[in-house]
Amino acid sequence: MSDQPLFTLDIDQNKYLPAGGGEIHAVLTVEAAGPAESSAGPVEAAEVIIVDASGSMGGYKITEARQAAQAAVEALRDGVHFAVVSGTHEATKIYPPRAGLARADAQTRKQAAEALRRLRADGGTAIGRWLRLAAELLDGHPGAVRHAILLTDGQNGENAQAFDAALAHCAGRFVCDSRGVGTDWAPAELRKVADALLGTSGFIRDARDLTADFEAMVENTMGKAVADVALRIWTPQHGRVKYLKQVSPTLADLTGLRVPADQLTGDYPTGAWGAEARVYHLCVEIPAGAIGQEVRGAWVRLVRADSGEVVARGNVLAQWTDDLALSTRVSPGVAHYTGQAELFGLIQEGLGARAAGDLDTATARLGRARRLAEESGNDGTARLLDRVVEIDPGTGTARLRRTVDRADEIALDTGSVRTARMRRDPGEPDPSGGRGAAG
Amino acid sequence: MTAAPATGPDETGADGTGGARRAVSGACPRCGSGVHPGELFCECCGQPLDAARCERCGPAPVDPEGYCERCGLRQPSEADHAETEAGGAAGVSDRGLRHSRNEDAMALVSADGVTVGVVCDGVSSSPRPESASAAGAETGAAVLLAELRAGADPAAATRAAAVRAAAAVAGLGSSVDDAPACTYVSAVVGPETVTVGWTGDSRAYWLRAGSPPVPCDDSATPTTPVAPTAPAGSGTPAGPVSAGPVSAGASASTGPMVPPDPAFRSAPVPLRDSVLLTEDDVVAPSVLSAWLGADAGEAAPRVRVFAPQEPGVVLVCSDGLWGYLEDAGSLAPFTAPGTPLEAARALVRHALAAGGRDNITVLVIPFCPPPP
Repeated sequence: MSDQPLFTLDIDQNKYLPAGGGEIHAVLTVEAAGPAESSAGPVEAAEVIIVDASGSMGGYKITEARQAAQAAVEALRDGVHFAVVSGTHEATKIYPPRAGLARADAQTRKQAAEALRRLRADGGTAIGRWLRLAAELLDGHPGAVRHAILLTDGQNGENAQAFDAALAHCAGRFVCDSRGVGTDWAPAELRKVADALLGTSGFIRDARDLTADFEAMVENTMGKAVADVALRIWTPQHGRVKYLKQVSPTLADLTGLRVPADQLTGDYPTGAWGAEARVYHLCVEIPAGAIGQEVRGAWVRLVRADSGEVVARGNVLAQWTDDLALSTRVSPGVAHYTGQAELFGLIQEGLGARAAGDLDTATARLGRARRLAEESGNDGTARLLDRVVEIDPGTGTARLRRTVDRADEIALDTGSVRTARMRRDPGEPDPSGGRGAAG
Repeated sequence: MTAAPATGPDETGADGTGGARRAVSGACPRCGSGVHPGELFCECCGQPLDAARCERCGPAPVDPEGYCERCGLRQPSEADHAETEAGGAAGVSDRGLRHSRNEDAMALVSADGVTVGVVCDGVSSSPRPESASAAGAETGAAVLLAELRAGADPAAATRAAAVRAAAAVAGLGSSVDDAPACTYVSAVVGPETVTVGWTGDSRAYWLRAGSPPVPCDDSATPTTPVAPTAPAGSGTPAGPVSAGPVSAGASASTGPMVPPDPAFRSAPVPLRDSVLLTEDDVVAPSVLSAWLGADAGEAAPRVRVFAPQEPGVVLVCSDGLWGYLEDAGSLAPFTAPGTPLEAARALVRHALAAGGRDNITVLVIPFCPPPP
């Protein structure tokens, strides 16, 4: 029997538009029910571990990084193709010494650990170059789940153009999870890597936690059962995808990753899938239709890149009505995830204002964010906000904490991409299937 | 004033099948290769030639779910747009543009040279109006046919069918507060007479074949509503839009109403020019004084019998049509040029073009008088 996960696509939207309206919002929930773990034929995997070895990593940090990378190598399943890259102003493959990747077994894991022990901190930071080397190495394994782990502690020394070009070059070639250590790196840079390369970015507050985190990332990758899946979105003539964002488990904008499939259709890569659920917010613009007309505003298909097989599909509809009670309703999913995106925006604006010394704006934004986090059930973000802003329990007034640990600020910045899943009410009727008003 | 002739019968080629047939004899809509009449698929690219037509954007593939693969429009489904033909007659029922579903129902059957048509319009303010109209139309047509076959005369059969339809609709309601309701109109078109029966404001018309905007052979008749003041060559009906559906001259020629007494039998009223055959049961525009439903009084259908003197058609319709075009003289040109199905489609298209505020149902039943 096949180990293919079973994909389901659920679409939450209000299809009714007012006369002249042309913007449709829908929340797409994609769930993959994975095959049993460690079943007969595990999918092929290729992993590149990139360790920042720039001068700033000197001392205890490089020691912890070595240990974390060694733990990641240890966690690799036998037979996985892998390499270790040392990153400075250049990118150097430190293992294997020969061309290409090594196959994980007891001996190669030991050799990789030895190579890591010789790793020294020296030089600059050129994240784009590191990623380009990873792309080159992983290109040799097109059928595999291709993944990279990136660890850095500093800001990228490349100019923005070179960095963006590198991300564009790597997009769709592999998935990259990146982690920052210390308090000198820029969350926005790693967020860019996560957005472009469909991975996560995160903050390792205590270098001693690196080992566990690296192990978890490798295990997560080993759990992937399908290498490449794309969201294929058709829009009608004269329509377009205004944006497509992943909104759960984290926020990531996929709009710019579109690869045209035909005149009306584009593919948005989503990377490798294990047993997991992800939620997307799709916004489509279409020409306004006549009252009573119904159109398919978007046809969403989930496609395996290797076989071209369509594994799930669904329609985003639009129907024009002059009944305001219908057209003004917002579907619960769209409302919830719009709120989560707003929460992220408030935190970013608040932190930006705080850094610029505009404390009034910072207080307003972060205070509003704290209330929104609580209302929407985003407890994780609420806790991170508590380190930066406090709410008077009596009056409800927000006040910035006088002293904020730089690490707390980074934790909030990186953690704000994590959204709360919508609480599901099973008894809720499908909002788009409602009965029309009696005319 | 209505511009009926300009948007009506001239466009018969623009509907689904007519247009597709034209495309087939020219070029493939997908690859442009020449295709010959009668071919079902393009020889060059395999494009299906008959089905490949979107109602809104023209030649384009429609996927199995019913959406145009180019503009996304959901193509009309059975519930949105239904067409039927029987015994040379045709019916078209359409959801219109404003309602989310079609609450009208129609039935058309033909046997032994007699064609029976029923139209019911669900009352939107009642619960489950579409169940009322469906029950009314089905029951009415079935009972009419059975009564006629059993030898009943058309007037008696019409009355019996309307009463049974009323009972069927009343049976759908659990109380007067939960009473699906609808209107009812039936037409029995036989070899010599036309019999109509109704409750509510759905209508039947007699439309004379070739009934011209400007009569050329019978200009002396005082009963043609549009003739005396219509300028030559103009298709626009003259005179003010009357509050009543029938001009004074026309109603004078239709003779007296058949009284509601079931025992009463009168001679068929002769018919020449196009005229409204029914009289709305309303207390005010679109406020019904009679309907079918558990909350309605005892069924008291009104029945009339006519004897057309010339060929023509009986038009049976819901207010989705006559709300836009109610003058018999303006309706007649739609039925002149094509088949009954083309005429029904043209009338529905006119109502859609005019706004399609309500569901639209149109039956077109031809009548040919016996040779004298």
